[in-house]
Amino acid sequence: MRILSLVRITLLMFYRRKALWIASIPLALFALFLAYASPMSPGFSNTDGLVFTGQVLAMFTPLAYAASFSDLMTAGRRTGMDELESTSPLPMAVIRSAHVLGAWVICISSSLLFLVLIAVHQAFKGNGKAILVALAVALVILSPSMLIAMGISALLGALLPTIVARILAVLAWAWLAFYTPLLPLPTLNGGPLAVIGDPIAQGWFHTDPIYAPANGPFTVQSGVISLLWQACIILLLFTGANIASNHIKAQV
Amino acid sequence: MFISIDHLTKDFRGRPAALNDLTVDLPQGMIGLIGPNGAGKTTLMRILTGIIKPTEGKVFIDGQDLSLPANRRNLKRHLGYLPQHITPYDNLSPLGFLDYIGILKMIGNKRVRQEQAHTLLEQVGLDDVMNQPIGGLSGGMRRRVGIAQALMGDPQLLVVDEPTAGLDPEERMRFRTLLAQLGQDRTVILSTHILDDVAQTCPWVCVLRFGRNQYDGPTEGLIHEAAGHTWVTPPIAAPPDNATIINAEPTPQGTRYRIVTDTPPAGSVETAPNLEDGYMALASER
Repeated sequence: MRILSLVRITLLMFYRRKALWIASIPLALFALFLAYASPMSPGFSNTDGLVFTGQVLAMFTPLAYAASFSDLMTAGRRTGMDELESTSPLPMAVIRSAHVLGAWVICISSSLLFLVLIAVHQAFKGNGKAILVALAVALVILSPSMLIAMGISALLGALLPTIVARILAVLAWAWLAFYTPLLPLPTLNGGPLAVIGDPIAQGWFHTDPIYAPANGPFTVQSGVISLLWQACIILLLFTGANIASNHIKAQV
Repeated sequence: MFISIDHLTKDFRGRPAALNDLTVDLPQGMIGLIGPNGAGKTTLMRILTGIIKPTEGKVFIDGQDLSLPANRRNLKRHLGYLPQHITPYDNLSPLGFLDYIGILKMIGNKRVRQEQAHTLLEQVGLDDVMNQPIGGLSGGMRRRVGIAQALMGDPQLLVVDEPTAGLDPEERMRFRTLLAQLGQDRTVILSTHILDDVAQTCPWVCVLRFGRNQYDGPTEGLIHEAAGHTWVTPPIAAPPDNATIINAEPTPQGTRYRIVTDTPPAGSVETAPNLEDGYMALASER
């Protein structure tokens, strides 16, 4: 219950961060436009369209979060809140997890709202499972991408000056999301380790992937591997950010 | 709470030891922690509050060894802390922020948290703005939010670092009174450069210098360090040599100095020392 109470307060904090909304809503709207206007788009009228929209949102909105969360673990050092939170009987890892969860809820809310609106429209047109699909897409495609972008940003922010971390985090996400396997440099796209949901979209929802798979179509197992891989990455990124932040705090 | 600090050393990489084999016993009640910048006061408070660990040595609070995680966790349930520099989350209201601190202090019942928060915000004079975002409050008001949060959970050990910095005189006196009341039945460690605050509220004082204990004992004892050495000079043109100047009062005939020295200028009048005199007398002994 305590973590829920902490998440609730964190929600309030991030809800009132105007910069987050200013960065994320235009990107979400841009992603929606692309999801509709792209030659690859299946449109907004079927389940494929929902999954594709979720993927495009998963590619674009994390740019805002990569730029916004460089101070997720370090802002408290500047404001003294880190010191105060360190005197709580609750472990810092729990407090920071609550902060991440609260931030995640706020981050996903605008994209989720758009997905649900499309799903409700589809539901009225007779697609009975549209809302469930929208929620599933938000959970297994959008959320991991957002959390990875936030994690990269938080880790870099714990290690580097904030402005440098912001730039590098955006570049890192751009590489993860937009670097096509057709170019002669390494990329995760087209493989089971892609972080924009291709293995899950094709393996679980049977839609066309954004980047063509390098070794045949993605299967259900590819989706499972992809989700586990992303969960590990998220855990590693936030644990790393937490450790780096604690280490630096102990030196100050 | 009785605090026993045993041969405490804290090294930060590449810097002189912040605490250097510090040994001191602190009784229950109000304790003033004073010393020049860099003396190790903040480091000591961060160790006492469990934020950082010492390089060597131990701290016992009521006999509980703080090097053990279970004891540290237990202490934190009874601890209130006001860091020197704190900017509460400016998106929250004072009420929301105190609620957050209540959760951190593991006060499970929301009604209890809200009641405590209301009471404390009234005590620090923020009842009119308790629902406004902290970001819109003045510096002094934010400081008072910081003070109120330190008192959430009715802590048995209160550690406050420069609590009155940034407060107007009226608020300073109000907070000093509040601290003195709190110090009647708990331990309050007050670190400050404002010696008047210590003189008014703390019966016990600890002076740190270069990470070492230079004095610990009754505040009267520190004042007594300057007994027989505190003088007020007649108006003179230049400050006296071989004397620690406590203050200077301009007059039409020249400047009248309050000094601590063994060799006062001719015409000086011995005067009763205060805490500033005692502190400066101790500093000049080193």
